Amino acid sequence: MDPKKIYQKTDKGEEELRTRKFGLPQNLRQILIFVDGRSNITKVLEKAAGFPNVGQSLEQLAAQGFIRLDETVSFAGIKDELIATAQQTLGADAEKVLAKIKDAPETKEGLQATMNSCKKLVKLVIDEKKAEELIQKCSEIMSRL
Amino acid sequence: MKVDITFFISIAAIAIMLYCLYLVMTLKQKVPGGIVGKKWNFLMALVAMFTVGYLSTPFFGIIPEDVLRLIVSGIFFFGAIYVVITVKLIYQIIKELSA
Repeated sequence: MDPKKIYQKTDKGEEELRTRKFGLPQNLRQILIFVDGRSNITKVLEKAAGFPNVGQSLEQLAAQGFIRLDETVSFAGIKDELIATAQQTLGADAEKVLAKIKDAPETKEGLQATMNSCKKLVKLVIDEKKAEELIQKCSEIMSRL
Repeated sequence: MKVDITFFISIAAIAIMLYCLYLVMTLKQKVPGGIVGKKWNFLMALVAMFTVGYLSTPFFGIIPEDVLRLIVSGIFFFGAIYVVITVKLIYQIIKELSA
């Protein structure tokens, strides 16, 4: 289970919450309520910290068709990951790169162009090795787009 | 020390060189490393050296001729090195940006 993935309710899940038509057990129903289509699995696990076997419950809900993984990739999520990676790789020198990523257009091409520009910036004024490291890590993240 | 047009030009040159020293030192904080950062330390050292050389120009009238010739040729020599480094740096930046 990829903790960065996001589950969303299916029509069946929405109907169950409204009508209790499928007789979902109470603990699974509670977990279904936590699935909001915005929180990734890590966040759902945090929200449902008081419940046992949340991961297993999510899998059960998915298997029974009440929820499904959101296959569309969120640009905001990708940007957050790129920002975290840049921060981790460049440390105190990351400021300008972070600003560039934050201002990047939310298209695959736009984000790609921004990352190429960041690579050049890092290579010129921060560190050549870190530039390669950064672009390699970011390419992995962006391959999900 | 003779106060003539040469003296005033020397003072202006020293003032500009001091401003240049201030600029390279200020910019160093914004260029911690990378292709530019590596060259920047050397450029900063050269500018510091020029500043010292330029500071001697108002005293050219009282400096022995041998020392004077050494100072001038030194400024020319390191000036040439400075130009080479700057041109190569610009070349590398353009190459990087157009890649």
